[in-house]
Amino acid sequence: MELREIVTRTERIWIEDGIVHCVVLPTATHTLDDAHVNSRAVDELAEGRKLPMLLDTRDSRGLDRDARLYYVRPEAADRVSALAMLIDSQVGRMFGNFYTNVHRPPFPLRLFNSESDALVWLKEQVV
Amino acid sequence: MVAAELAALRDYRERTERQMEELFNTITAFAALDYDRRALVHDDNDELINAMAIGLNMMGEELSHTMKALVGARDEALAASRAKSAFLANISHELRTPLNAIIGYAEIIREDLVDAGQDALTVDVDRLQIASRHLLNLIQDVLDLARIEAGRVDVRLEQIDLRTLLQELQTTLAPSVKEAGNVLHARVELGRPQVLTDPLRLQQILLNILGNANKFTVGGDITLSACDHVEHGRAFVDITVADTGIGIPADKLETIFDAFTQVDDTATRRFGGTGLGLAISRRLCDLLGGSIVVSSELRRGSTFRVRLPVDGPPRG
Ligand SMILES: Nc1ncnc2c1ncn2[C@@H]1O[C@H](COP(=O)(O)OP(=O)(O)OP(=O)(O)O)[C@@H](O)[C@H]1O
Ligand SMILES: [Mg+2]
Repeated sequence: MELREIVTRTERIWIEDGIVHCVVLPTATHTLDDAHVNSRAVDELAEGRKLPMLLDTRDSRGLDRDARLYYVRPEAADRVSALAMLIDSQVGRMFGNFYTNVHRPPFPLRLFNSESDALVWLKEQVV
Repeated sequence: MVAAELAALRDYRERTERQMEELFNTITAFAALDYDRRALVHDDNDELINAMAIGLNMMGEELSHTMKALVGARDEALAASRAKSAFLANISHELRTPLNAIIGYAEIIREDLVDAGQDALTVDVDRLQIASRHLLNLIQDVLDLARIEAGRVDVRLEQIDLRTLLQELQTTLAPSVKEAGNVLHARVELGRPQVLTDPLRLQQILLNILGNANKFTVGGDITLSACDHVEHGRAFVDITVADTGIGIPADKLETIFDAFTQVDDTATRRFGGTGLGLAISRRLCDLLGGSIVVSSELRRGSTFRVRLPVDGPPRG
């Protein structure tokens, strides 16, 4: 069981059963620098593997445009095989809708109301 | 108990109003096209309020970004278009000067040849002159179009007698009409022949349309008519040129008004021209406050109608 966790300024990140878990913290300004730091943390934990990711934005206070664009840049597809977003909250729905319609990621994206459903789908996305 | 509930309710209401105020201010800024305003997101806000604030902030950022991109693209396009028109206007002027010299010298050489009794050689000089004049006309057209597009054409309005203008046109065109084996008819039925317009521009428009009619008709009839027309209480004159020539395919009826557009390449080779005439004519009609439309039937003929306001283009 791999349960090393990295906590950055804006996210808590760990890998469990081959799935990257990202929980966005309620940091007021989530910037491009934060996006760089978070991506590096994921890389470090994944050790070069391309993994599916569960993203929980429920406590997010928003992130700026550069950060959003960085997370969905084409090269992100080399690290993330699929993304499940939790939308069982209003903030979650806001982000889910945004990433579905405005800044589409370069990997498969699905929105889930329950974490267990999300995990079932993500397990199928392991490459 | 009831009092406590009421107080709690009042507190809740006040809190919600305070939170809504922040959203309201952000929306107000967006409504005034200030997309840089951001709504504050607080830990102790209701989740719905925070979700709306986050959504508004993302919307503001995206709108701001899109607006800047659009304004930038528009400015670039405008600058490019102005630069193109200015370049065309300049280059056309530069080309015209030496060309006029060529035409002038050809004329002198021609006279010298005649004086020297070398009449047989004048044919070549005539060819030189015809080609040069053709080139000069073309440059003049390009210059006109560039000037119109750069907004550098001034319209000089005068009270003119349309009947006289049409008469003069017929005289000007008579030789080339005869050469093409066509017959030019005129039907002028005007209550009052006075029109406030720019006679030079009107002449240019009608010369092109009549020229086209004659170019695309062989051994047929060309009818130039003029009559009054009233629309929404405003007085217009309709000037139509109808021919019995080759006609225009239905799908080309609009594109022939675009610059450098002709019905087909084989026709270009057969009939010459560059496809600028109608583009210029339509823009000039616009400047005169009028319009130009066409109807046609393939192999039967075409009718072009120029409609001009009797009192000139609307001011301002
Ligand atoms: N009366 C007409 N009958 C048939 N085709 C016409 C007639 N008038 C215009 N057209 C078509 O529309 C095209 C565009 O006309 P336009 O006057 O713009 O250019 P042009 O006569 O070819 O060249 P230019 O006027 O620049 O010397 C013509 O090439 C021709 O194909
Ligand atoms: Mg023409």
